[in-house]
Amino acid sequence: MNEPNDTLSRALERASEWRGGETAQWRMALERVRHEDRRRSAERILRWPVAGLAAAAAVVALVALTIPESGRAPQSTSRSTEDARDFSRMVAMSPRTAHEMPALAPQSDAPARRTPASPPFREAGTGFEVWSNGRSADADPLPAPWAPIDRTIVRQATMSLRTVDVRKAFNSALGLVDTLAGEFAERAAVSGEGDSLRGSITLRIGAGRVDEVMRSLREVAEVIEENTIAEDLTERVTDLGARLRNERRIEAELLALLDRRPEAPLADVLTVRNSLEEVRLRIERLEANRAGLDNRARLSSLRIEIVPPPSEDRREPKEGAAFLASLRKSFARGADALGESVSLIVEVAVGGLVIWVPLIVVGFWLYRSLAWRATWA
Amino acid sequence: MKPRGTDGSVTDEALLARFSGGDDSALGALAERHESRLLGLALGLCRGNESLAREAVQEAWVRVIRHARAFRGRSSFSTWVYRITINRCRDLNARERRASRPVAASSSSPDARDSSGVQEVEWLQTVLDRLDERGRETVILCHLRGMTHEQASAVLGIPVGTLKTRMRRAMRTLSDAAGSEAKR
Repeated sequence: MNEPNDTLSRALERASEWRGGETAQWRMALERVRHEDRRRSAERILRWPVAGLAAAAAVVALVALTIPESGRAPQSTSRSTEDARDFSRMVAMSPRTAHEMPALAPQSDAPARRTPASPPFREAGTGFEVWSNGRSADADPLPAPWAPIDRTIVRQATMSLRTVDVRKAFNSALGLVDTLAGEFAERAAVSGEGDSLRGSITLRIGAGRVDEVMRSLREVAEVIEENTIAEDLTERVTDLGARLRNERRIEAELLALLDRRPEAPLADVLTVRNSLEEVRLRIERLEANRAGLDNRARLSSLRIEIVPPPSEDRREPKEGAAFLASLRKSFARGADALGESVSLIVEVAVGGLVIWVPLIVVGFWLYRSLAWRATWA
Repeated sequence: MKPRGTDGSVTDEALLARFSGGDDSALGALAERHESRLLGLALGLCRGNESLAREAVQEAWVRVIRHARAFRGRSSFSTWVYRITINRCRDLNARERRASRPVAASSSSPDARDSSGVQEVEWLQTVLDRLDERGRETVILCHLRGMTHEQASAVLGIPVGTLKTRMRRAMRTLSDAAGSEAKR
């Protein structure tokens, strides 16, 4: 090495020589780490309960979302109750229904929209009932966009009940019919005897009263199953109305033709009369169809099956047996819920393997890489 | 890991293992062996700024303490701790640059208080500024007391041949810079 390089090297050696006196950076570092650790552990103590609570809340929310039975009345085993509530809302929105069932007016918000200036009326000369807000569907087929839609909805409900006293429940169900409002029992049958007595009833009740009757039936006996189906017939009713208007227009034109040509040849007059007869026949059929639809919409069908409990449930319960039975039921429900949760977890774990495996690999690689960097940083 | 070195003394790795086991005095023993050289290295890399050098070494010890259990012994302890110190110096220099504070030598060093010492430090920093970061690290590390080329290459993670090439190139640049500084 030449002289300038030696000078440089000596200067560099001096520059990288510590002459700052006694230092104990390691001790300061140790104290710093201990202090930070104490602070972190204090923070962790506070953080864990919060995190635990949040995790518990998340688990509860997840379970509530994934297990439909958890948020439902124990005696109901189908989604029909919610459907029934939705349907009630639909019925309440229909002014037609509100007018058809004046006795039910307090249950819906329809009366609030009904005004004294618009009572239900019968369209003159047609023999056709028009139940709406003082507005005939035939006369004004295109309502304003902001006007409520007159919906014609047919509702059918079924309920399976279980009770020790089938006969009493059968009579109670029949007693729910309001004959003054035009309701009736379409079918009522009792079969079997003794412990195998069974009842079957089909009620036709006002569309707006279905919920009320079902509520009453839930108090009469234990509900095994309930189901509600709603069918929207608005399109069919509208179509029938349009066809009726058309036929009536043809009828009026044919009548006008006969009036204008009194001296027409007999053959022509007979031809027009034949046409008139056919048109009137079609009008009558359409009116009958529409009356049938209105009747179906006005009275909903509720089918009730009443069965006795299984023979072992009818035994005289021992003292404390109710508590044990309730405990057993709760345990069974809990086990079901646990089973469903586990199956959901397994489903998500297995179904998402395509996602989990790469995620785990990337996560592991990331962890290793970060740990390596942290060690060498 | 051998508990004792060839000279019969306890190895760095054994001391680190003892420290991981809860013996703080083992860390003191490690510091006794390495701290002054680590401070020298940091001083050189932090352009003679003592407070920055102390901070860098303290940070390095913090990392050693935190990751002592994670140390797998794939390199020697000294390689690991020097590498950490170099990385900390890089970070601190970058921090100072971001804060627009030129890293300057502090005047607290007793040697730097006399005018010749100050002049030499300033001259050396002017010359070292001609090098890039890698070159500066190579030169300072290789001029550290007791540091062999093999150890320096292990710390920098490069082969010895590459280290020597870098060293030659850096020294040529430095001697050119020293020559031009002398002409002024």
